[in-house]
Amino acid sequence: MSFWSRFKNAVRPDALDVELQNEVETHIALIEADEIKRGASPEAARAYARQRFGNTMVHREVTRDRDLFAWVEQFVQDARFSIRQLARVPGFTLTTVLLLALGIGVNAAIFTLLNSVVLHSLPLPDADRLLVLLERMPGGGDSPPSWLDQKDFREQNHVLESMAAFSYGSSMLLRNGNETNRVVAGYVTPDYFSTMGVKPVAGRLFETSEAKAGSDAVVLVREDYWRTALNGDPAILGKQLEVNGRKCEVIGMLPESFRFPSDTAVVWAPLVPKPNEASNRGWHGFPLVGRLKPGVSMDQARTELSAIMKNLSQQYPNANTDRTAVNLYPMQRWKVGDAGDRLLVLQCAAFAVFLMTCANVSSLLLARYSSRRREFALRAALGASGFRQVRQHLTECLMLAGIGCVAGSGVAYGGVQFLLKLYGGGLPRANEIGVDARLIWFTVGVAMAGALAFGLTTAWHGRANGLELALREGGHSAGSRKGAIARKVLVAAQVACAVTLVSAAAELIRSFDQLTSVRTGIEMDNLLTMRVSLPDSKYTTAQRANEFLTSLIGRLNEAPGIASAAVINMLPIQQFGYNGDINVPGLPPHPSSFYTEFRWVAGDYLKTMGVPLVRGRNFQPEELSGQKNACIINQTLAKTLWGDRDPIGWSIGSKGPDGTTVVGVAQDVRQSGLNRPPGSELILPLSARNAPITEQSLVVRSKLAPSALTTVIRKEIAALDSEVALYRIKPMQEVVSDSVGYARITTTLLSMFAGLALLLAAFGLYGVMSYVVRERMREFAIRVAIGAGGAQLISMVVRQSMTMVGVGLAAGLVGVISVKRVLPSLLAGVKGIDVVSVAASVGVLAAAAVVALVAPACRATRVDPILTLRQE
Amino acid sequence: MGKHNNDRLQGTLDLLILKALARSEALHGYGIAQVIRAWSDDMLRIEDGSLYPALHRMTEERWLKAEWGVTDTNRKARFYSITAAGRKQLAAEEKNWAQLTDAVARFLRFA
Repeated sequence: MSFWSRFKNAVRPDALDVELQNEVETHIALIEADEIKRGASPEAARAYARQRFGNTMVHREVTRDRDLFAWVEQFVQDARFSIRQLARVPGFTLTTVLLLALGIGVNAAIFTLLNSVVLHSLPLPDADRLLVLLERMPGGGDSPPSWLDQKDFREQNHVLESMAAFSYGSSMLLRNGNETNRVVAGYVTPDYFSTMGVKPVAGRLFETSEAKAGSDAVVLVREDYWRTALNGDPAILGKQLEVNGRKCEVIGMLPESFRFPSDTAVVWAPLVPKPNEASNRGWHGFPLVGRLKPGVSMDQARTELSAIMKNLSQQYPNANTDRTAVNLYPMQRWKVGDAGDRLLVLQCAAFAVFLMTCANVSSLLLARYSSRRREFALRAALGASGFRQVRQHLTECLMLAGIGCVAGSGVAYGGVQFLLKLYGGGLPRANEIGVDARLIWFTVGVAMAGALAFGLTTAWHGRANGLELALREGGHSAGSRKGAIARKVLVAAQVACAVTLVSAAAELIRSFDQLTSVRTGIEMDNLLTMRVSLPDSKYTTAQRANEFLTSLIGRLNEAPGIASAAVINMLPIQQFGYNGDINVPGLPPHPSSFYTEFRWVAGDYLKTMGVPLVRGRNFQPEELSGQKNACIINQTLAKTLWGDRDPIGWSIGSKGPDGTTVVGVAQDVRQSGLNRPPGSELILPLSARNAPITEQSLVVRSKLAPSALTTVIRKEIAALDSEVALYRIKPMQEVVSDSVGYARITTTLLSMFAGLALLLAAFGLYGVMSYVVRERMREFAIRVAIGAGGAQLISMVVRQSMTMVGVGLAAGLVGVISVKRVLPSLLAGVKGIDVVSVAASVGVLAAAAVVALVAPACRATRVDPILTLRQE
Repeated sequence: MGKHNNDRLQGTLDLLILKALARSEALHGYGIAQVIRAWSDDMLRIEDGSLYPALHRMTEERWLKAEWGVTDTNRKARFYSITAAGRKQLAAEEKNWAQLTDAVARFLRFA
């Protein structure tokens, strides 16, 4: 009976029943019809038909063979037998199950993230048609379009069904009672929601008319935010919330699953560009989302939108200098970013670990097989067919995999908790992580694939050569050659896997170490940083905002325990990207790709951050207060524009405030992150700005503990203005370590996998060598009896293992070469694998191999010739 | 060789069915039963129902091919016909049968 028809039968047993029923009914009807034709009465005809057809259990007999039930019965029989067999060797069973649980669990854990974060489409209708549109800068980088560019994109394109603008600026101050909280918000144009395809769970969305200054006092809230922060107020719709210092009406609620523009956005307000932003084509601050028309591909859209962009750059060469194309990002990619690639690489590493556990299990099974050779031989002699034996064996493997799968689910659960903790909120779409059918199929699939892999690799050995021989020779001395080779190949494969993983991990650790030991240029100890957010509606002028900040700094500088305090618009490493061109009359024109970061500071910023001046002097009080113009530049800017000349005393004009004199050159700071070299930076007093900045970083140097210091700062702020919010409070060290959070997570995880791989390889080698030594005990005994020494035996054991370790190491180097290419995607700055890392990992592997060999080799030397030989 | 080779009784039924189909077009179960009865002058009386397990098994062995069709009286029925493998099987069975009957006959002669 072919498995296929059995399977078909299992899938549609009714169909078979009906067919047979039809056949039998026709048969009986035909007999009756013939009888009636011959003149019999209908009753007689029926009686005759029944008698002639007979009372055979047609159905049962026809289907018996096909019956899945019989097959299942046999399976259950095999399964019970397997369980009994496994229960008899608890050590073996436990080891195997633990190995499998580890391998399956690790894979399932990573896949849980991969599945929810990368494989699931976004919880929006036709999410694959959504994209983010940015302008392409000369170097290939992204820049959001300006408000006017956005209008042109809207009018001229034929590829998008709809589009909308949003803003990167995401802070919002919500006043609740006496407390002001900063929440993450989405500032979006009214058509944002229809473009994304989200429907409100209550109330309504923004009207087009509400995207105007004056009528924009409306907000939407996310359902779970309403439930927690707003206490699930049932009458929330129509209520007023105090947002950024003014009353806004809650008009609707969005579903908990809607996490745009950012994962943490809980409140949405209409995006209303300020007059200067709306009319200045050079003010690039409005990223766009779009929905492709059905049937339009991303490439088609890119072609058309880039053509529009090219026109815009020719039409407005000053505002859109060299912006000749657009960058389109599928929404999923935009949302997940590089996290997806990293997860994929981790999944591969996890799979390598799984393969190693399977190889280990195979080795264990082979060893066990050898000790069961007599049993198999006996069963074969008693008539068990080869197929039956293999099947019994596979059933046993399935049992192991099944138990391993259940235990692995536990490991996976713990693993996911661990991973989420490790990511610490840094994983996009973390809220969507959950169990679904695909995850279950994956886990079961992995387990079953494993069972098949180690089942089949060991099965042919089980029925392998010379069963009678095994019987005759009495058990274990006839260790089959094939089995021995199989075990060696398995060990070599494990060593190869381990070398690859350990090399990759070593390289990541090395690069990560280099990354974190980069000098930031900042005095990191005793430096607390935080964001300060002032309500826009209240601090409408630069003067008011500066007054507040200056008096806050003044109060903090006088507070006990505080050495100094200052404010900067963007904290180095944490934030960057406020940049533009400057004009220095008298210098040769610089390349068009030149730009410099702008920083505005209040208080003694350089002193607070511990950034030394390499030339000139610091700001003087009248410069900080705005009575006199002055600026400080960093070394890179000085070098880029002035070269060897002394920049002190030069005047910077154009986009900076006119006629700002360079008074000092500060040492470089890694303002854009540890992995990027310092760029040009221009530092100006905050008072030199005529537009207010309501989001600032406050830096405070103090020996006080962060919590105590925070209390002091909160008190001082509350004394000045209780509507000002404080958030993202972190010591500078934490800012730096957070900035390499992803690199740390990836390095940690890959190192863990490498550690596991190392353990597994060592364990595999240990297992095989223990077995080999046991097999060769008799030979060793004879050797000892004729005068071999312990050292000779040890060298024999070592020599035997050398081949497999050597082959494994060599194969591992091939693996190293192949993973070289994926490493850079894990950690920026990794260029490949350094020889040092590879050498180190080979060394580690060799050391592990030596450790794994100690016990078996010692056992060999302890052989007692008389005892061993007498046993035979 | 089929796995029921040594089951003589079953083998006999197989032989009869194969022979019946080898001599005619596709037949349904009742047709086969009628042919066997007619040829054996009603000597071989087999319960019609016992044909079906054999028919299904032989179809599964690919000795027979089964197709749904309609009888003269417009009833749905499955029509069986013999395949090339079936003809080979038939030849083998016939040979077996001859050997067996020969052996039994010789035994009866000498006993």
